[in-house]
Amino acid sequence: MPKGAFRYLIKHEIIAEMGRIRQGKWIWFYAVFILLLAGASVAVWGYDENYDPSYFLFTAYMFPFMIFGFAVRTLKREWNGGTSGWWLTLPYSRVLLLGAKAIAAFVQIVACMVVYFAIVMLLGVYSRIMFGARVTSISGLFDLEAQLFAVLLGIVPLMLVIGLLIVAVRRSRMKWLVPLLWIVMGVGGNLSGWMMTGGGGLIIAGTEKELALISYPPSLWIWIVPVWAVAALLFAATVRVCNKHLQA
Amino acid sequence: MNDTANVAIRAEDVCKSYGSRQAIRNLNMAVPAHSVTAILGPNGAGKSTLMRMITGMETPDTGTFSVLGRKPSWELNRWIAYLPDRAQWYSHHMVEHALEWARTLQPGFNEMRARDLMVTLDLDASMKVEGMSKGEEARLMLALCLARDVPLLVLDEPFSGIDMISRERIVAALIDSFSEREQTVLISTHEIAETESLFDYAVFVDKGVAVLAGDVERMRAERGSLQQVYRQLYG
Repeated sequence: MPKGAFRYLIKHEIIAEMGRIRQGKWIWFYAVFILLLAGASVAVWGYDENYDPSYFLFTAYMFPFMIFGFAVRTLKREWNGGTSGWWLTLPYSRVLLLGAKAIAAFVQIVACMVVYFAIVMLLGVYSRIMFGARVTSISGLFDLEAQLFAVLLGIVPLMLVIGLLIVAVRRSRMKWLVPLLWIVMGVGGNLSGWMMTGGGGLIIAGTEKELALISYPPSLWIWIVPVWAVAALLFAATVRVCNKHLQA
Repeated sequence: MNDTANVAIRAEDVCKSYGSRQAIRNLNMAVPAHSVTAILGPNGAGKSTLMRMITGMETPDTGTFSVLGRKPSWELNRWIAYLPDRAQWYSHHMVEHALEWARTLQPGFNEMRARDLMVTLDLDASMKVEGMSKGEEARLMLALCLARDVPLLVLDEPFSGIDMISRERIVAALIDSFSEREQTVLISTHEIAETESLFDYAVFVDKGVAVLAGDVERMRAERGSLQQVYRQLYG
């Protein structure tokens, strides 16, 4: 393998995605709309006694589904863009080719998560300035964000690989498996939600006192091991489909 | 042609099916090394399936298939420059990015040669792929293939949907390229009249079977031009 080819493949994927974002003006429209909505929510809802900026973290449920979407798009692009012939005949193993796409999608989701948590933190700081000790402290919010970030890092590989597998199977002679894989994706999404609430044991509370008690149960971190093992198996299945079963 | 060194691609009783449709049936052929070989036949004859088998994108259901003396695989693709059928280039690239892509990912890519070809084919490094005409995009992809110093060049329908001027430019570039290097070249095309002068060897395929194969000069002497042979076989 020429020096830097794998790194180049990852860069190539990220640049393709950035180009899409630059061209899709509607993405910026949504970004501005959501930010305005969040700002307006704090301004209006903040005066309610039960308001707390940590509630915004419920929207983190989108990330497992976002990574699924990124994975679908990164692979589907090769066929939709007419470049699958170039990509599939590169003199590198399917593990490397798919691995580069997976890493690129992972880098993108991590970047999105960092931006997201930074925005929630800014809303938290603003809320603290505006409403005082009634809302979660900065350190409490940071602690909660750090835990949620770690749980998301544990979950996203599974949803990422399900996305890759669905596209590969859709382009193979095993198309009949696609409905089953959508069910797997649904289960993965639910599992993600379950893990993000600490197996049902985590309640994002509204007061500093309650938040101080919030911590993901240690058993949750053990769950990440089988989740990654399943992700690895599904990745191996994706490689196998791309090696043996793709259809013209 | 039993000598492995003289045969670039060999198929023995190769079959390939997609569900109930047999794309290739008992295909037997031997493409001579260092020749420019035409793979000819009507739509659905199995030409593209054959091309994809060479690059390991398809595997035969039965039979023996070898390329450069080995079983097709991703490893072998480092020795093959392949222009896929109905291919497009990455729309977010400029020509310069395409050169970087090939330089980084394609073993044997000769950048100097690619830049010369770009000039010959009237392409500028600052051109964006998005916004290129179909002919310009085809010329870019062909230049990237021709610039590789590899023993096997496989071009699947390089002229499909391209205007006459672009076709002429491409044929001229091919003639220059083939005269300079000792490569085995395989081209599948429907544009027989314009490309006939390129070929040393021809394989006519119909419904997945090689119905006629041989030296083009001999075919011409015995049966007329390739276009006439095509009409005799499929007309």
